Amino acid sequence: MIADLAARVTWTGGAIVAAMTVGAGWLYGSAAAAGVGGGGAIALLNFRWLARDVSRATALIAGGGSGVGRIGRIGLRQLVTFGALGLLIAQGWAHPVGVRVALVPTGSQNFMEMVLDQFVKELDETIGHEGRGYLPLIATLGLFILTSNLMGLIPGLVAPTANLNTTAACALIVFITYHVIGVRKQGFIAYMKHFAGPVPTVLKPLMFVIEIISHCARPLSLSLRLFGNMMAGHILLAIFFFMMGFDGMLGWALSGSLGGIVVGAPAAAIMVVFVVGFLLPLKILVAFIQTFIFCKLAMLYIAAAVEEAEHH
Amino acid sequence: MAPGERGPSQGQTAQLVSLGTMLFACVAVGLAGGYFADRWLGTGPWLLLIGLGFGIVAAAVNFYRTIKTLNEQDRDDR
Repeated sequence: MIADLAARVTWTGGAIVAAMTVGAGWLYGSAAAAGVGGGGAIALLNFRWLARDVSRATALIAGGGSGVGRIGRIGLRQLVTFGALGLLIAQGWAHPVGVRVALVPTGSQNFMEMVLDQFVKELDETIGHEGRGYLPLIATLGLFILTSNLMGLIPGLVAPTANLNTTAACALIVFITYHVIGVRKQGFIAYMKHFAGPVPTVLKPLMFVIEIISHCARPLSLSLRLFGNMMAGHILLAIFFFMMGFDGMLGWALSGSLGGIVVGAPAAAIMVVFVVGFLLPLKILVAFIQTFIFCKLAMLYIAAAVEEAEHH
Repeated sequence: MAPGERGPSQGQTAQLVSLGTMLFACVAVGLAGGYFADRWLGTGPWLLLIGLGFGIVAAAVNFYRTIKTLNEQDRDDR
């Protein structure tokens, strides 16, 4: 039954996408048609994948199995979809084509130039003048993470960074990149030698192991910090609304009884005021701070990998 | 904070914030490394314990180094 529905939706969706592609091509040219067609194809493929997993999971559950693995995969699919959405949104407000770059900056271009200036300033401060070469990496990571964090504030959207997979991917990109940069700057042997550090010869093997452990701990701590902070915000809101009984208080107030009006309504109002006035600003603040910390630490790691070449 | 004093700069704040998770991550990496080495070689609990020790030492060394660099930066600024 689900398979029937999925097939029907796919056909209808395909027809709509085709019509939209033709319309976009007719109105805005071939580039717009390619964009609309590509986006529609991705959306349809995502839908097909999701529908297949849902139908298999329901079949498993109907057959007496648990289907937990399937549902986990549906969660992953949702995560990937929202991650891609986050990338698209970040592109929309940050990409040169999306902003319509002009010589005389207007509107969003002004804003973007301010943001990128800030990135460049931080890079100059942390890595030095050659740090500007790493602007694409750091700025892309920063804008993606910031967009993802802020997506968590919109009801109905999922913050991709509230899932360990996304943050681990970002942290691994940083990890691999700064090692590659270090090896390219000073050669493999010299880079490895630096792990032993400035200690007596007897302690060198010991120091080597310790350094390896602390380098491996870096992506772990990067990803855990970002994920933990984002997840904590969601859990805080969930606890506030579901465990502290916001819905119960609201229901009590709406039931019309005297106690509900005297106790329930003020309690619900206080909760709403507290969430809107305190928790949501806190979440926005955390979203910005965590983005900054992630970028700053990535810069510091790159700086450490680059600087070591100059000392020896 | 006294009027003449400065708080830590933004970059220093990032490093200070990273200290907490860094402690945990170092110990966790050491522990996990020891555990999987044990499973691979089948040598009882020994590599796990050694890994845990290395992890704790790595955490301490990292903590000490970060604080030392930040202190030096502070002294240079003054």
